[in-house]
Amino acid sequence: MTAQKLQRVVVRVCTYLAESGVTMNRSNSRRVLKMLDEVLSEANGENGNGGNGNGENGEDDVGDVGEMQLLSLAMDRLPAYFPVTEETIPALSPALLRGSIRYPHG
Amino acid sequence: MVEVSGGTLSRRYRWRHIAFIRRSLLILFVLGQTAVASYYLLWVLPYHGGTWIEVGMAVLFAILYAWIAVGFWTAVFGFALRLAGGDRHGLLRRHNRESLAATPLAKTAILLPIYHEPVQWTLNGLKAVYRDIERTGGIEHFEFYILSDSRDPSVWLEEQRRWHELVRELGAEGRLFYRRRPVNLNYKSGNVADFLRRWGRRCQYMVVLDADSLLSGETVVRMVQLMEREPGVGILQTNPTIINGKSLFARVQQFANRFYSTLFATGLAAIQMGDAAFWGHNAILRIEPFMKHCGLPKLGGFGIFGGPIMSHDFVEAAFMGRAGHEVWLETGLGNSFEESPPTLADELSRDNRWAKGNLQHLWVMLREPGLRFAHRMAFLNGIMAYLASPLWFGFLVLTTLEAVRMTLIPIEYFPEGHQGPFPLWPEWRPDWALLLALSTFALLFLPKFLAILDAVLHRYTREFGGFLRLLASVLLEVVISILLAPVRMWAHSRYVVAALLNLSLSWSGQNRTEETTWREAMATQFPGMLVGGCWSAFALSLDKLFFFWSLPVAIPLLVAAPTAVYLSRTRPGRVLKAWGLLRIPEERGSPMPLLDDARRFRLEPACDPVWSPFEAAVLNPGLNRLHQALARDHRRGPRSQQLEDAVAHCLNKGPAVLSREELTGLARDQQSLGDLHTGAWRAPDQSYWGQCINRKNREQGSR
Repeated sequence: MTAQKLQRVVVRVCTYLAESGVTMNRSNSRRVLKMLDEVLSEANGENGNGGNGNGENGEDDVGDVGEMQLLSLAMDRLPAYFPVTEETIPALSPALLRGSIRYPHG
Repeated sequence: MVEVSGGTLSRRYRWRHIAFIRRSLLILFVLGQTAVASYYLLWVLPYHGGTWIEVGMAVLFAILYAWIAVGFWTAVFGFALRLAGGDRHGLLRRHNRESLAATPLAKTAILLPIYHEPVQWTLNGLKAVYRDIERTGGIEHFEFYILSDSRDPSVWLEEQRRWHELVRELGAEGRLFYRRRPVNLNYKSGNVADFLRRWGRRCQYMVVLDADSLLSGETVVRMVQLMEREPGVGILQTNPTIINGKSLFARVQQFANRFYSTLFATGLAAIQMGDAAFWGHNAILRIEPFMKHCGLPKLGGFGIFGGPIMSHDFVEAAFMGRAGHEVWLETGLGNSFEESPPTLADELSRDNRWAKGNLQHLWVMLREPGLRFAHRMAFLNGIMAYLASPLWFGFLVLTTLEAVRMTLIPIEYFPEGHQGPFPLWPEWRPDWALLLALSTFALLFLPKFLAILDAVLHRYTREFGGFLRLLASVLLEVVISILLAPVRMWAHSRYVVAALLNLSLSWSGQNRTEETTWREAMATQFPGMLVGGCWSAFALSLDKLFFFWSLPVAIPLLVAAPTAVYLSRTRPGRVLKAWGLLRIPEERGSPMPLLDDARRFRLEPACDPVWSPFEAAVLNPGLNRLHQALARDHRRGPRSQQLEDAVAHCLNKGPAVLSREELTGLARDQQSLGDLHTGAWRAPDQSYWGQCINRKNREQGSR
């Protein structure tokens, strides 16, 4: 995988985290790297097990499909590393207490 | 509800006698003055009403003169009552401040019906109202409902986002609600009716706001207390003051409203008393009788007189009155605010809607049984607000025909119907004509100077910048209103004709910021400019004197485009404000907390500067969860496949390739929102969604 492709995946993941309100401090950065390490191993494993099988060498043969695959794996894995705090959504409307409108005629 | 004493009950019925006397006086003054003026006109005309043209002129003149005389005498009533220390028969005067303040509050809903309004600006106004009610210590008695009729998902997604933020900011969970109707039938009244069908028995009262309304907490609380003490009152209307004018146009309207309404509103309230009108907002309504008696029927007539009622408020007031409930305009309830359209074009666009709505009232006025006479007159007043324009136009046409007849056609010494051996000599009385014109101008402009006298007598000229600045402001307002009157006349005449022909009507939100460009002004004003120019040239070719008579109407029409452009500009508004002209009391010193809050909240940054509301709903993880939680499962039957296709299409090409209906379908469906979020964040860099994310990434990097 080329450095640019990996960089794009990292940037995408970091942008997602920033949008989720996660601050990129040292511990969170290490968590991201750990997650990517795990995802890369998994992707390599998948390729080794017959992934796309286009390359001559397991390190550089991922190509565009590989980048998308890596991104997808990383995005799938994010909730495990950065769990979403389930926020209670306030009630949009109160319980119904229906009124009846009377029309003069028509 | 609090107990009501017998004294209060007897007072409640006494107002009808007072109202009868006041209205009789008004009718006497108006008709008497109109009769004298019409008689004068007949003497001014060459054949003294001996021709059909002159009869037509006299009839139109009488109608128009009576119409402006009503306004004049209303202001005079207001002036006289204020001179006497205020209207002692007013609703608020029945209770002293202490007893009113001690009245317990009842549960009240604050309704904000909206339709494609600037979201941040509108909801931050509601936030200011919420905070102000909170300051009174009685917030637990109030519930707030944002009732949206918006159809564009980029607007209503933003409304949902802002509602959620507001609930969190204000700690208003279980008190601030949001409802969007999936089908918006019957305009604003249908929106309120939808609320009542769902939650009509939750609260005793409802306070209806407009998108630009601001009502102080103290006023809202007093309104509830007054309603509690006056169980016979069905609707209590405040007299809103226009504020926040930036453009010269808005500042002129604001000044006129704030300064002259002291007299006009006092006079109007004194004449209407318990038969007042409802203006649709900044008012409190008793819910139970409203639901029982104010359901709006579909009109059964032809053209605009068929179908749903467009302008609901006057009709609701009339129905409330018919059911025996009182409707009061209470000028003593201050701190009620709204805003003016910023430009002439915006005002005329609003008038286009209102003209049709008001003309439709003719059917209700003539055919609805059991309405109170005062409410029928309120309908007539609303109709005349627009019908006066084509009548004036008709009067000008007849005047021109009379001039043509006198100039080009040989004099008829024995016109049709004339009896007697002697010829009928046409005679001009220019001195009488001048007197008549002066008396008409006096009716129009004297109330403005009466307002200055009122300010001097009651010592509040300082609040408007001092006597000299106030005088200069009034003179400036008079000049601008003279420039605008023929432009409005021409526009309203077209609207009335279009309404009577039942041409299409668009119902859209109001522009609150933009200035009018030369191109826009020319596009809208050119027909009027052409008419003014041709008429004036024709008048010159006929007779020099007639040409001079045509100028007060022709010149404003000819300069309509520059007038529209310059009035829409904010710079002259700022300059005049710096000079202390067109100032209103609310602009002096430190503003009240409500206005200060509204100004600050409305300055807060608007929505996401990088993503559109739809893009943010798809991409922002928190917002996507929010919108998913507010959405439903719409994947049933054939719709499921349609939604799946739309999701795939949207992920491939972006939202621009989908119609508004398709986007609405996606934004309302829980699973589609989830699928879009998942797919968009996994999209390639070069794709639409990848580019969106990169834009945000660049913005994050630049911070």
